[in-house]
Amino acid sequence: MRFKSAILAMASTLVLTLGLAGPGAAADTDRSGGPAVALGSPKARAEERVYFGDLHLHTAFSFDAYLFKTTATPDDAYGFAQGKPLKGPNGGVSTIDRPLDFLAVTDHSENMGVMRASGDPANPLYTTPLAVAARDPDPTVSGAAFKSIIAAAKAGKISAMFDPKLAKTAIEDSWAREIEAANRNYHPGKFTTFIAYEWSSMPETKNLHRNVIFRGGVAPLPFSSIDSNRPEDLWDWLERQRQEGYQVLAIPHNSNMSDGAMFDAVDSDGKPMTAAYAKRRRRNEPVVEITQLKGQSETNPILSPNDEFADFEVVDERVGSGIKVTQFHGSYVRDAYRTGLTMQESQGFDPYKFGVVGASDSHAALTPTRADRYNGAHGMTDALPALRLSCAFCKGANDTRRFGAMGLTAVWARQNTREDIWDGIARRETYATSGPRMKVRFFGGWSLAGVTPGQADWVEAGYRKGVPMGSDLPKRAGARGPQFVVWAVKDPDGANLDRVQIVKVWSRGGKNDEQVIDVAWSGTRKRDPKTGKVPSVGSTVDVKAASYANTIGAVELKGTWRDPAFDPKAPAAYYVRVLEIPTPRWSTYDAKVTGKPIPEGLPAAVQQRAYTSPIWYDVPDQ
Amino acid sequence: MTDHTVPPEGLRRIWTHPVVHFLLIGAVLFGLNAWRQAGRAPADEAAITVDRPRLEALAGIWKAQFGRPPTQAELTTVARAWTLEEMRVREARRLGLDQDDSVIRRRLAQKYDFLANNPASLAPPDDGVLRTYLADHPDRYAGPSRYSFVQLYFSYDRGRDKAFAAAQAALGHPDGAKADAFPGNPSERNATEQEIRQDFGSNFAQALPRLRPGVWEGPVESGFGFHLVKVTGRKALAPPDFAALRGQVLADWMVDAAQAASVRAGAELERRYRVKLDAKAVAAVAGGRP
Repeated sequence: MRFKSAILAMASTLVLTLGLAGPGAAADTDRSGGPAVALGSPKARAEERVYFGDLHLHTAFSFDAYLFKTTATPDDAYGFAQGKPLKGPNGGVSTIDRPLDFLAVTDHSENMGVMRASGDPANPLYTTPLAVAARDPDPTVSGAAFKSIIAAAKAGKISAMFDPKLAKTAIEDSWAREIEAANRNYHPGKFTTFIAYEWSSMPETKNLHRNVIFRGGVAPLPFSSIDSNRPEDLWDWLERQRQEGYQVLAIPHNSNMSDGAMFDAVDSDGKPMTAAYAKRRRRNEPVVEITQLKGQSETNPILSPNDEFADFEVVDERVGSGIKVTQFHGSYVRDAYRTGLTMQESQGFDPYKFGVVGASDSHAALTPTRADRYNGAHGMTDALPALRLSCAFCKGANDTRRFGAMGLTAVWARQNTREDIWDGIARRETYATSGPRMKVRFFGGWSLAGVTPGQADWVEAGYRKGVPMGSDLPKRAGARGPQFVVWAVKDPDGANLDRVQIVKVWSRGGKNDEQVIDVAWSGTRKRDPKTGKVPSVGSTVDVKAASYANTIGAVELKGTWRDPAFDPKAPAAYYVRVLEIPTPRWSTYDAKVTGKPIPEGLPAAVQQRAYTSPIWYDVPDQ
Repeated sequence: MTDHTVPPEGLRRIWTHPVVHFLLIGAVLFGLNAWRQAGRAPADEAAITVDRPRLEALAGIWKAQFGRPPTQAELTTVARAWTLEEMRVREARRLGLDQDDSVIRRRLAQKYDFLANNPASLAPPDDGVLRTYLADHPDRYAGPSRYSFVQLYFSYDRGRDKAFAAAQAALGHPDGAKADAFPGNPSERNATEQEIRQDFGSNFAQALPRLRPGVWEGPVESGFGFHLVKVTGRKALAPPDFAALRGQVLADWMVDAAQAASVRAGAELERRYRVKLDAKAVAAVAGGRP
């Protein structure tokens, strides 16, 4: 086999030398990636499909993934997403259950590829003490190297760890390889890739990370957190790139690990935000990652005590360290919507008017989306069931047992191309899932009569009479509150649906609030007249056998809801949350395989879910 | 498939064979080395000279790695690493560590393979050869099949057994059947397997190729319930476009040609060596386990 791969490598080198491009190399090398996708008529829009993909994933080019002994390259990651098998660092081979429609490899820009280059004996970086420690086969020693890098990043001294000139060469080489791999694996209509990277700012291990996603087939050398760890400086750079013709956006993630810093009420200098700041932030960051391996960032039980489904995959540690998060306010998406709406009401601008996406943030070049196939996502440290349950390499870092095997981005788009998917994200017509591929539609308007899921042409009617997820409600018509139509279908290879909810967030008189309304649910359950809530769907999970049955829940849920408490003076946002019936958590499958007990504090079953981008109502100017 | 590596018969055959090239090159190098050694004073065992050809080789490796030549400082570092390696190699040889080492044996065999069967040494095929190759491997290059079908849906929401029974019963009279509204498009036109998998589930997508076109078939189970399906069209995408695929076809042809050459070279070696395998010893070492 080794010989065969050598021949393959030589043959492909030869092909490259001869300048003969494969089909993938026909990628668009235009900076902007071509003209904006023109949205069709309601009839044409009803024909759009939903595409599922991962916008956040690391390979051996990321310093931390390399230290976790991940050897897979961007090409391997794109191959895995398209259905090819991938060999793991602990032996064993993983495959995805169903190919993804799109993937962005987002390696850390900070010293991108430098750790990997330092593993090459012919490279002068090879003798750097950090490189020596990183090569150590003992993960505790290489783990210490990881922690020293995190400490350096925290202190803003990451650039001092390698000879800057040698590092620069390795970074340039790596970035060129990232671009080539993305273009080589882009198959318009079948599989979309994005040139992308992660800007990894983490002052005091408060996570401010952003993924930077380019639309076209070329991209400038990344602006990293070594250049600046202030988001405002990143936006400056993004805007300069836009002037140069590159279409690019940034996606913040893991606000749950930011200790209140991600969605603060002030800017990086502690100064009050302005209308210009809000506009700039929204232009550069149209969506936020709401769910991924390191926890969901929708909300938690402390912020949302009346939301009985808020206690789902909550991770309350700062990134890369065991330090507990204490500031939940400013750390979650729902809370940010509330903050933003209050700023909108009192000051006339909302910096937090963003849509949502989901992603994995895998550091093993593979996207884990199913609990029953979870095989870790941090290289050698969690690639075996017993290791995952014992968390042997967690000391001083995050407790990876509390990580969830999730998530994905769903985009409504005309076709599977860079332009269509990227523009769908930019206009926020997206939803996030914790892994399952359920279909969700969401329309809002003032009169949605005839927008009836199940009837012919109802989607067309939805686009004609209302607006989809990620939009502003049109100008108010009629005396009543806004109306919403929701439709959700289960993942055809997954669990049934429990319920569909609308989450309403609003601000009035400088005070903001939230409410979760059950809109559609399975079976004959009745809403409790006292609490207004629908009782639990129950559970079919057999913990010992790590199994469940689709004997409860529904295949399809649909509902119409008009806001009965609408206040025209209160700016509001409405988004949908879809819950599956309970299914075993990945740790329950591992417990079954190893015969070990489920570690204390981990739930045996979870309710996987989807969250849509909101539809907003704003008070009209007087 | 036209094969460019099979040499003509007779004397020419020998001179064109890669193995002969290899042996000749080896002989020349050996001779050169002997000549150089002969002209020198007794070799100083402790001397390691990093001369210009060596440095150029190291610089070449660097350039292949980083896409540019090394600086003076970089080249010095690399040269130092090389001398350290050289010292260890000499010490190891002195101790006879290279004898019977399975890694070294494998590496030598690999090097031999590389020289004997290097695909770069294959004459580049012309387009005619590649077109034939493309035509010989339709499955590898054809686009995905596309399906058109209509279907009747019986939802799990009726209960699984009832859904199956209703679908079964409807097979006799599909036109008047009371089916459920499918959550999505009730019919598909020119959908790929990936799209069908997303809309109906993996089971359904796998079952589709087995259905006879033009007649109602089923019940077929999806992720949502049971279906009666009538396939109305099935087509492979437009024939593969040679111009767009040429690079990929060439790479695949190279791999195949190199493998074929490797098989031939193996057979050639087996002809040249007389292998004696002591069958009795095999049985004895295997301890009588047949």
